[in-house]
Amino acid sequence: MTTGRRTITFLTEVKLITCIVQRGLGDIIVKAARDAGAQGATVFFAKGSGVRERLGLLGVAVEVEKEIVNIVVSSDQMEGVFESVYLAGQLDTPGMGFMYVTPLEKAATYIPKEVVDKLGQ
Amino acid sequence: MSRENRSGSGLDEESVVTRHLSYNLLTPRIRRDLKGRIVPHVASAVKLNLRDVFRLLKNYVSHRFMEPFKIVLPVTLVLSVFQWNFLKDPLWLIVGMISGSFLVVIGLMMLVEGLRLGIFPLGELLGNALPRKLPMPAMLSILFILGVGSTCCDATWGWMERVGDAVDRGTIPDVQLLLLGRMGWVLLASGMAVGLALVLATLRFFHGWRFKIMILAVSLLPLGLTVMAWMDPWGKDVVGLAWDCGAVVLGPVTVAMFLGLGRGVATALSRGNETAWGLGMIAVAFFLVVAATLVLGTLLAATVSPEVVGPRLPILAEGTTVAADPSSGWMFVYRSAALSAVVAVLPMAGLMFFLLVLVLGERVQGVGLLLHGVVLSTLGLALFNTGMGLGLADAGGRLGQFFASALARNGMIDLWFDSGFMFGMVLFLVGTVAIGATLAEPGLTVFTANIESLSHGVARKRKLTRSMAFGAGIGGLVGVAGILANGIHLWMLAPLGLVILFAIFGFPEDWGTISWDGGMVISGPLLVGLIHPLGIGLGGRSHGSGLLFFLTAGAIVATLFTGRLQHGASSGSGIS
Repeated sequence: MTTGRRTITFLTEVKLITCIVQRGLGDIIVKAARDAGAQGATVFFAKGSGVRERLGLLGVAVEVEKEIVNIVVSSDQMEGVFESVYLAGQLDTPGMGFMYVTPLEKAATYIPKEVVDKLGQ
Repeated sequence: MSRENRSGSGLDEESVVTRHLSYNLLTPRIRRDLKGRIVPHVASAVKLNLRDVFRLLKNYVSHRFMEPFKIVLPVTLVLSVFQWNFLKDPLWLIVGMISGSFLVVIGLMMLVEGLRLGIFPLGELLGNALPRKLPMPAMLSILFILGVGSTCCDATWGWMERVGDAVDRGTIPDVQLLLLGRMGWVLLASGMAVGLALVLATLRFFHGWRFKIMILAVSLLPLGLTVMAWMDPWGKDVVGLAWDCGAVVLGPVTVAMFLGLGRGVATALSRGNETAWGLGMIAVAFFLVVAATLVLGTLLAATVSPEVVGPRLPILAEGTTVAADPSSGWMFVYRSAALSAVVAVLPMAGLMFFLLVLVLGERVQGVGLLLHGVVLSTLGLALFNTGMGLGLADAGGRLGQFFASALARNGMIDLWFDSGFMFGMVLFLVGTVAIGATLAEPGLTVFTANIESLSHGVARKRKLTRSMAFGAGIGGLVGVAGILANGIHLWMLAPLGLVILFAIFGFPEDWGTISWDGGMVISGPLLVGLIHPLGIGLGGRSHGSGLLFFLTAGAIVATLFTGRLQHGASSGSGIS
């Protein structure tokens, strides 16, 4: 690595966990993910439909406006983060949300130089 | 590398059973008709078992209940300890107040949900349809009428007059008596001011005027009138009342409606980036109402001699008996609470429906949900009013009076030495109530939710609410210190007004608008019902008025600084 040339370190074995919950509940998801070792999360707002339209009167109890939480995790972390997010978000309750995992081919971001030097050989 | 980042999930792996299921088994088979086109699939209704229904409702209700509960309960407890300790109130009175606070919590929960589902979307639909369907003059006249109507129906007024009434009928200055005895006139003048504010704000969206310039221009009138009134020996007393009126004028129902209207109109009309938020109506309305009240007060003072002021309206006086005599009072509280809730919600909701469907010919989707919201708002407001009437509102005024007389026994010089304890108690009480009432204010909840979704989550609801509550608390402390020192005077009000007016020039445009609108929104029924009587009790009518403006000012400044801290993130947070 000569000075002046910039390097990109590609991360592999990366998964994307996406969790869609009702507006206002995204913070719970982010906290659960971080507690389970996820290093960051991105939240954006959206509107969505699903079981709400099929619940009849009870649909009132489900918010149309959603938060989408994107969490990038390593493949080893994936099961643990997935599970704790699912439980924290109470996704086993009707109308509470939906989540899925997408494999990512590669990812890149800032990685401290010492970490790369130590592990990257 | 991934191994390094791995962390123990800390979960009991055995507690979760996992299994797999092909999604193919769950999705419906689509059918095609003879021409090969897809027959639209109609999803069957989901039948939930009782356990799932319970869990669904529990999730829905619990955090909507807990949010106001966590705030109202501590405030009530503080008030009841004060009542017990200082006022030596009988136990049943305190128990009544605490049970009233539960009604307040349930009412707040329903009201916020109702405003969110009913009034706000109705306003947005109407606001969006108006510019599309009508020419500019017709649209502006309809907005004007909506402004007048909603102000006249608003419930917050009731608390101001009735509660103030319960405290001291003897010490009201003549000019204020003139105004309070003619609440109808004040309402009409304020209503026209609010209508004008709606028109001006809409013109701003259309022409893309800058908010800072506009608010500066609009504020010159009330500021000038204030200084003029202060020169007049008569006018002094009306100034505080006028500034209070400005803060009080928009109750939660009106706020939700205006936010919706603003957002709807702005998305249809706006050309600029910042104006697309549809904010600014509330802040403009504030100044115009102050101006209108000042003008009315001056005119009345000039034309009517004080002797003509007749006895108070009987309905106002009746409210005073509430706490003293529960057996006759509770039914009265309930009836008048229900009535004022119905008046606050139904006429305007009905008018909006009428305009949308019959005048504009819009096809409204989800009427059921809108009606649900309207009904919920009405019920919520009725419960809230009832709960407040069971002692909470009364407690503030009597505590204020108690401390006023306790402190008045000592001169100002001795205050710090002899009455340090009392002084501290007053500040503690005011701070607690101001922060608590702001946090739970229904209008503010709707407002911050609107800002959060407008900014796509950049301006977080919780953070915004907290900074406003903090600011209101500080403002309340300063204001009360002012009242205790010498009453609220021009030299306190005017610089404060100027400072927050010019402060927005140092801050980004969108945060200027948010902070001004938000600052005006906080003074809803909860804050007015609790803080205003405290101020009146402490300072009397002539010296205690104006306290609400300090809270507003505090909230504005705090929000501006929150915006400054976030500026890096929010500078590009416009709607486009």
